[in-house]
This record gives sequence, C-alpha cells and structure tokens, in this order.
Amino acid sequence: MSILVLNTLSESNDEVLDLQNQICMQSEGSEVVYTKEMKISHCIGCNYCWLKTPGICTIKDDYEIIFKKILKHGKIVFITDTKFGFVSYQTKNLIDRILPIATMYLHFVDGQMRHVPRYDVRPQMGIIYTGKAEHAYLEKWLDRVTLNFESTSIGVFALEEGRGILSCI
Amino acid sequence: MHLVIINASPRVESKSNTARIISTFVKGFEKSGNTAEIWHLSDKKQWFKAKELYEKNCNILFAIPLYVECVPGIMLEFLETLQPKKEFGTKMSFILQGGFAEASQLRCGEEYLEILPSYFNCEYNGTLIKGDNFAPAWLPDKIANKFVSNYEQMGRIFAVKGTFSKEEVNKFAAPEYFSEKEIRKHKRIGGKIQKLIFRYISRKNGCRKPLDDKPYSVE
Ligand SMILES: Cc1cc2nc3c(=O)[nH]c(=O)nc-3n(C[C@H](O)[C@H](O)[C@H](O)COP(=O)(O)O)c2cc1C
Repeated sequence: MSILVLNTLSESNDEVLDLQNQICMQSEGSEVVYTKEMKISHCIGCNYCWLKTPGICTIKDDYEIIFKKILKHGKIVFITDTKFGFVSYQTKNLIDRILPIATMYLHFVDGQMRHVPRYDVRPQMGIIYTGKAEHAYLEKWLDRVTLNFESTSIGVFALEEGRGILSCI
Repeated sequence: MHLVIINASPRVESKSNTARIISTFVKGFEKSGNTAEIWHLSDKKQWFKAKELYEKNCNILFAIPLYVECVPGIMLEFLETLQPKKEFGTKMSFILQGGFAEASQLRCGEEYLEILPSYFNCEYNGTLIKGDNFAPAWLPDKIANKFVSNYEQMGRIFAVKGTFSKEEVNKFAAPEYFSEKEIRKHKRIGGKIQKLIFRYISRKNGCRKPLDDKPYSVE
C-alpha cells in the first residue's frame, strides 16, 4: 500500500525532508503533497456531499486534488504543526473535508453508530507533529478518527521521534 | 451574569443546528434576568467583534458542532487570533453537539475541551454534550425547534448553577450507548426507515443520484 504524506507545515526543515524521504521509500508509488501554497477552505458543513451531490464536495478548491489522492493511497501521514496541544487548523481542515468518503447511511459497528463507507477504501492515518502537543490526547483522538472511517491508526509521533513511524507503516 | 456565546459552526447561521440550539438555550438562560449575546464564526465579519468580547468578558461559552471527533477547523483558526488572558478568572464553558446519537460519541471532543481553556489562562467551566442533532437543519422550522426544545431547560439550569454539572449533563445526553436490543431493532427496521427519510430529503433537495453514489474511481 502506497503512502500519501500531507505536509501542512509553513516551513519544512532538513529533519522533516529527510523523514518524508524515508517514509516514501517504504512503499513504491508514495508521494508528498505540500498544502501550504494550496487553496483549501475549511468544511462549511453544508452536508451536500451526503444529501445533495453524493460524494462530491460543493467547495471548488484544491482539496479535490487531495481527496483523489486519499482514495488512491492506502495510508496517509500528516506532518503538522501544533496549536493548543492539538493539530493545526490547516491539518484539521484536511481531515474534516474527508467526509465525502462516507455516505449518509448509518450502521452499527462494535456497538456504536458509524457512517457506511462510500468506497472500498479504509485509509490508515498517522501524525507527525512539530511543537508541543497533548500527545496522549492526540493518540486517542486519531484512534477515534480512524474508527469513524473504519480503518486504524498508524500512530502519533513527535518529529524528534518521527523515525518510530517507519516500523509502524 | 452576562454571557458571550460564540457559535463555532462554519455553517451559515440560518441553517446551523448550533445556532438553533443556542437560541433555545438562551431563552431559558435569560429567564432569570441574565443576558447573552451571540456571535457566529461562519461570518468572518464577526470574528473581530468576537475576539474583542473574549478579551473584555469573563464568561465565554463556545457552542460547537462536533467535527470528526473534535472541534471544527474554523474554530481552531479563530482561536489562533486570541491571546491567553493576562489575569486568571475567565470562565470558559462549552456546548458540544453532534450527529451520532450516543453520548459516548462526544466524549473524545469533550476531553479536548477540558484541556483547551488552560491554553488561554481560563478556567474550565463544564461542557453540555448531546448527540442526535443532525436533523434540524433539514427539517421545517416548527419540527426543528421541537427537536432542540429541551435545551431551554438546560439554559435555565446553567443560569442558576453557573456551570454544567457532570451529573446533569450525563442525564441530558443519555444514552451513553444503545442497548443490544435497540441495536437489533435498528438493524431490523430503524435503519430502513432512516434510509427512506434520507432519500426523501435528498430528492426534495433536487438530488437525482443514489446516496451511495461513487463519483470518483478507486484504483
Ligand atoms: C465535517 C463534519 C464532521 C462531523 N463529525 C461528526 C462526528 O465526528 N461525530 C458526530 O456525532 N457528528 C459529526 N458531525 C455532525 C455535526 O456535528 C452535526 O450535524 C451538527 O448538528 C452540525 O451543527 P451545525 O449545523 O451548527 O454546523 C460532523 C459534521 C460535519 C460536517
């Protein structure tokens, strides 16, 4: 399974670039996308991707490029800055806008309500962060996020320990 | 007490479930002579005012739709415009609401809100959580208002107690999980009814595609 690295940092130093290379070397066809220069809005919560234009986001910006790549690669690694102990809003926007990957339909999985996936893809997700984070919380959150998309978490790593992700990917 | 309420939903006010919940909550809150003002982050022009009021007031309530297990991106962006309070003493309260029906679905978001105020040198003053709030935006006003009507009572209680107590919130947000019996019932009939309702709503909004359409190809 190839890996999609989504880098939302405003600046990437050598440590980041080196780690990205190593991640991409794990699997053929992997790629890095830098979102800094891309035009990506926050989700506007219109629900049209569920009820009006199923599977298609109403916002016409650069996110569609990313969405298509998410469908193509089985694994996503977010490289993100942190604010208030959490991922940056740029990264949260990328995650909020994954919504068209699910349908409106509901079913129960392991005793909790979930949306029925639209495609036969279950992207695994991992996070590498710079700065200070509520690490334990981020791990828990990513577990919940991936549970929602019926996949699994690759794990959360501080950049200094970023190499740890290589054995989990 | 004067309460500054910030609606953290990116959805336009007229469609926002959070906005509807806030109005209902405020009705109850103002019964005992309290006052509240509401600002919406979906309207970028209101950000400056909301920021200013955060700086000047010591009772702030963020009302938030749950977005992928936490707060929406737009709220994080707004928070970046705020500075931590110089003096401790501002109370930050939250209303967190989501689409899934079980309270357990909101716990991860709630946990973040328990941490968040410390980044602004504010005091955490409780979170009112509740699920099953997806529908109002798609319903006629009258039914939608009924859907959220029990928030009025919670506004009244918040006015008296000045905080959200865990006990009261848990009662309000129940069930934490559905029972096996309820899940079986959903599988048997509930799911099918839901499907019909969703299909009806989408048709009414001009959708001619099946709701599980796959517009992009997957390699
Ligand atoms: C991008 C996005 C992500 C969402 N994630 C969740 C979720 O993780 N759990 C949940 O219960 N509801 C989730 N919802 C549903 C909303 O919280 C719910 O519909 C809410 O009532 C919307 O309020 P608003 O109309 O004020 O925006 C999500 C909705 C959107 C648009």
